[in-house]
Amino acid sequence: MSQPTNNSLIRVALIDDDIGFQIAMMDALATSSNIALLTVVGTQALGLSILNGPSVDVLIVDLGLPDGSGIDIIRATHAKWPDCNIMVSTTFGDELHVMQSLEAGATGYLLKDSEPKNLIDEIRSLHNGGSPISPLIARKILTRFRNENKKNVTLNEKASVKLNVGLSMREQEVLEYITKGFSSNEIAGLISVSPHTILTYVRRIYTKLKVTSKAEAIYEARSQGLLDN
Amino acid sequence: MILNSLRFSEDSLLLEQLRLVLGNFRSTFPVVLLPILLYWALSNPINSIPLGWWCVAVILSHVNLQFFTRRKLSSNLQANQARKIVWILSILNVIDGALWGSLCWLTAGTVSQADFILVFAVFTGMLGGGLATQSPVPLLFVAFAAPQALELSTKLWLLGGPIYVTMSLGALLYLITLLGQAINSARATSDAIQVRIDLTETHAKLRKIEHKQTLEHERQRLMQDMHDGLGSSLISALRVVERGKMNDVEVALVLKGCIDDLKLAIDSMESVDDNLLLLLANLRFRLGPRLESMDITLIWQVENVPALDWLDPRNSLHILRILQEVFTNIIKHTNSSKVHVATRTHGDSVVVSITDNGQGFEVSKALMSRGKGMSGQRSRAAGIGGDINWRSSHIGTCVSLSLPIKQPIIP
Repeated sequence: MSQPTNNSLIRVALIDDDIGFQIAMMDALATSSNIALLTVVGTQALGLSILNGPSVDVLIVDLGLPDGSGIDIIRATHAKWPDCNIMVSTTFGDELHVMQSLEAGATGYLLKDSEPKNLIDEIRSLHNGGSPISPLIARKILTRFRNENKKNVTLNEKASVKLNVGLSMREQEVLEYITKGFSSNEIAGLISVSPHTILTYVRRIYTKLKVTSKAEAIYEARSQGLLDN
Repeated sequence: MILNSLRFSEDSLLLEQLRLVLGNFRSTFPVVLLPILLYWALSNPINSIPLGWWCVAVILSHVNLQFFTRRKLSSNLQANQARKIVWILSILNVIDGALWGSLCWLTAGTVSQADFILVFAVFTGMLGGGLATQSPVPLLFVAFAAPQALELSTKLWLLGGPIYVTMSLGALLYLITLLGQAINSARATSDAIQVRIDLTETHAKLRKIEHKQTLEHERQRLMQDMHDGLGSSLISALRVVERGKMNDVEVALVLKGCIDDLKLAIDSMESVDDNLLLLLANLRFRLGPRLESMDITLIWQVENVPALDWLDPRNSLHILRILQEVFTNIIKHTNSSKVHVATRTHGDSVVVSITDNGQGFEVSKALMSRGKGMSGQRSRAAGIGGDINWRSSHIGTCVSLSLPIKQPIIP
């Protein structure tokens, strides 16, 4: 069980087989005052074994590990340390990899070629409850929830797993501004909230996405008779 | 020739014919009441017991056929089961037909001649109805009709007398006529079914070919883009580094530029659903950090514009490349601190304008001399049906990319 952190130390673990990225992270985090890189490993097996040790606040995991997918680590970590923030490190930040990771329980992503200063900012922001997003991902999420709404209309009431985790009006508004290119600062100004609030909206949206896709998976399994009712 | 028409078609065709017959038969359920009416009309003390048994037997046979039909229709029939089902159905039809035909043996001689007309009417009705139901597969019609015709003809012939003999021969003629009808109808149906099967196959083939072509186009498109952009940047950088003329910082910049190129190419493959603003948003997402690192403030003044239905990956990438070059030029050649990005609708075009507050340049001179850059942008813009122009003074430059809302249809 991870303790709620006061602003003192952010404990980070990195699971990535790219030596260059490992060094870049170590160098970047060495310059920061309150972020400590506790563990660096390069395989899925070692990554899963981290879960046997003390918990961390932020876990950064690469999907393409030599002995397996990082998605399994994301799922396992999310199950064992629910308060841990999981970031997936990605080369392009492309829709496919990010959405997969979000559905497995990640709360953010990190572009591998970011400047050191950005790496630190992203980790801090994630730890404080915000989540990064890109216009294409925002668009994908809007489409996903629009399809969910259509499905809800056609689902019969006997379905015991209700997929009614929809987006609130505010959340949709924020996503739409993002798809038009506005930065979180600009959106904050447009709807009169603080920029940090925008990022927490994104975090909430990601959580809803995970709940929806999990519920979807359960519904699919039930309707195919794979789960007992 | 008749035998030829009775032969089975190939399995997939036979399946469709069988389906038609089963569907037709399903709606003949009301016939089950007919034996009861006939019993009521024709029974008398002499024949009531056999007629009663006949009534039960016919009803059971019809109900059995109905169950068989419905069960087959609701199961997922495969083409290789068609033959077996047709044979089973033929046997069931022979039994059913024989039962119906036996009515005349039970009643001829025990009912009046007038009442016997009713039996003959039932016979003609059964054959006519059988034709309507079973003509897609002529064998089934023969299986149902032949026993009845034979039973009726022989009984009437045995009874003798001009009326009965006429009816006997009439029954046989009727059967032969209907047989001819059945064969014609079956041919027409099977032609129609065959056309449908061929059409489905052709569509599948076309889709495969289209798919291949699309993949080929995509491949060529990406190769061209890599060749023009990434490829040439990396090779030029290699040359300069080999001559020792580039320092680490410059190399890092070149590599960053290449990574940006790659990211934009990948992003362009995600569909933007005709949404120009989404395209621009993505551009900002990818290039924003570079502008920020040069302390350039980006002011985003976009407004909603109509959907551009021609924004496929190819055209999206062209727009991204044009605008990427605009931003690169701002970063490299101007001392700007502010860049405005705006969109507006202007007649039948949408205009994207990027305005910086740098030192400006001589547009006409640059168009003639500044390497491939600006003319390259011009031709890219023209290639997607748009236009680009520059307005510059000492307080800044405004680049306007105008894009048509609808592309002209190429004949």
